Amino acid sequence: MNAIDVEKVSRVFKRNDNVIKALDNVTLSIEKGEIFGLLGANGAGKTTLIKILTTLLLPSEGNAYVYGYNVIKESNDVRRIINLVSGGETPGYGILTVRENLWFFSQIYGLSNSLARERIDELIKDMELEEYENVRMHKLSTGYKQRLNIARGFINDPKVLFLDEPTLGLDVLNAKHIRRYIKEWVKNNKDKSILLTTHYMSEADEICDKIAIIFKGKIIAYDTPKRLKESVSNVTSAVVEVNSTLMLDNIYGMPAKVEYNNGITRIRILLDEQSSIARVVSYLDSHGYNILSIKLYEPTLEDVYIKYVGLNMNDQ
Amino acid sequence: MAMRIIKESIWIGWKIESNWTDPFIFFSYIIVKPLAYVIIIGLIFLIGSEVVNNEYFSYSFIGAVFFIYPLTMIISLGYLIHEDRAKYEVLKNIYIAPNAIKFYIIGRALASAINASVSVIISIVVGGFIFSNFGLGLDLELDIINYLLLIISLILGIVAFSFMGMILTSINLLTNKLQFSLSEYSSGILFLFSGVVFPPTMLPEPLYLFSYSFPTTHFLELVRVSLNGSFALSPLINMIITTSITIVISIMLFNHADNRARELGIIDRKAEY
Ligand SMILES: Nc1ncnc2c1ncn2[C@@H]1O[C@H](COP(=O)(O)OP(=O)(O)O)[C@@H](O)[C@H]1O
Ligand SMILES: [Mg+2]
Repeated sequence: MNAIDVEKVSRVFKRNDNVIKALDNVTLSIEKGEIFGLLGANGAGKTTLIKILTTLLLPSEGNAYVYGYNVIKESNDVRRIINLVSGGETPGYGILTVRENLWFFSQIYGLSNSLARERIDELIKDMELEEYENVRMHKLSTGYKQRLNIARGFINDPKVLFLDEPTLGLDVLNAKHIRRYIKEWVKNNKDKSILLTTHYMSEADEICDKIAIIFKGKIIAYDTPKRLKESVSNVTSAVVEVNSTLMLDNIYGMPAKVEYNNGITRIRILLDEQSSIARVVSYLDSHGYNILSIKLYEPTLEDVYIKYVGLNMNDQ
Repeated sequence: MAMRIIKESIWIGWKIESNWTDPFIFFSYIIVKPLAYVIIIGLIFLIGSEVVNNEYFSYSFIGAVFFIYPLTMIISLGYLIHEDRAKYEVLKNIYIAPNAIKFYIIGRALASAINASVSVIISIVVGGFIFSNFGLGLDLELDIINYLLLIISLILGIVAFSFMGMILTSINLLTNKLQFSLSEYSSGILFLFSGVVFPPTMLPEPLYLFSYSFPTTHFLELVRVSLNGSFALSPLINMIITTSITIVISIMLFNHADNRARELGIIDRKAEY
């Protein structure tokens, strides 16, 4: 059984006269033990999918299952094994301390006193909140509020954890801590799974076992980060520096762009495949240019996104 | 599990609503506000009535004081969804815990019942003392009170007001425009139609029947009967019937609102869609 199965899920929102298709026939599966990344720009439909899977929203069409439980009809069974953390939110009561807030949620999940205490101690330690455990929530910095929010997400020891842009607006250090923690959690607990949404490419690349790119409610690419990047290796770029000026806009049909800088000519070439670099070198060599350096750029998820969506995420 | 949620929600409700960490808020919320309200009602009585009549004064005063229960509970539950959704951002996280939200609401209702109890006791003691200086003695003899009936009335009342409050939470689950008006209007209507400062029999015929559909009316009557040291079966039966009906309506409405909110995806809505 998979941790999550989404079968042809669509969701339409009607706002005044507008009809927004927030999700369009989405199908995907998440295996146990997987960190699954849903990558997409603002408004792509990420939160909508998370809300459907966490029983906060009904789909217009299709079905979805968490550990085999239907999210529409068996919402209570789903709720027993999930939790949700949304970035940029700080659920909790400002006048209560970190520990008191965690205690509240432990009781909402019906944990026994001893289990609750044990788990809260552990989470406070893991999230490095020891110094703040008796500090009122409203006094915490954004980063520490989010650490508390993450700790809350683990309070019921969920089988499937949903993280909706968990590092949104965080500084590098806090974001790194949170990423490392969730990665460790899945590594140390073989059947735990995470569905994470993000619009940070590097975040998805760094921690996800599998990635789906969502664009305007549709899944347009869906694979491991490695294979996704391999699938665009024909647009890997190379930068070759030569010591004399030249004019060209392609080499064997591969697009090239020339820049001059302090007497050095820099040629940026989009290779149709990685091995084509050899043809580029022999071409330049046979035309008498002196090659100073060659750099190959690994494709990034950015390239993947550009290939499938056709534009840069930040340009949208 | 349900008990755990209720217990913790009472605790949380008590902490954040009374906010005893801030003595000023605590004072104004639990003590000054209800006291001011009781005194204003007493003053209106004092100025407005020609004959100073202890019996009538007691009627209004006891009515006003014990109306603090439905008033506090309804206002507090009327704001609950809005605050938990937009201010504390906890609503969706409580919602996605299994079987938690209803028990949480009940717990919060009980917390405000505790707050109301503090206000009621202080209002009786302080208000009664103030008005005795104006020759308005409260007809209240502690040794004749039918305590058993009083406790039963309070329990039934608190149950009824919790579920009346839950009706407001159902409505607020579906809209984020009414949290201010809804609590005020509904407590205002209840104030007029529940025999708080004047007996419902003084209302014209159809409205008089209207007032008998509210548990608040029977609650106040029961409290008065018990404070007089007597017993009456019909308000007790009426109270049980109206409370039961309130519970059924309230749960049905809540389940409906729950489904509808899930359809619309507005359990975590912070902005207007
Ligand atoms: N409750 C709602 N009512 C109307 N439109 C909504 C609602 N929730 C989301 N939308 C719209 O659906 C689209 C997808 O939103 P969302 O899932 O929040 O995107 P993301 O999380 O990827 O930024 C957006 O166009 C958004 O405005
Ligand atoms: Mg989102």
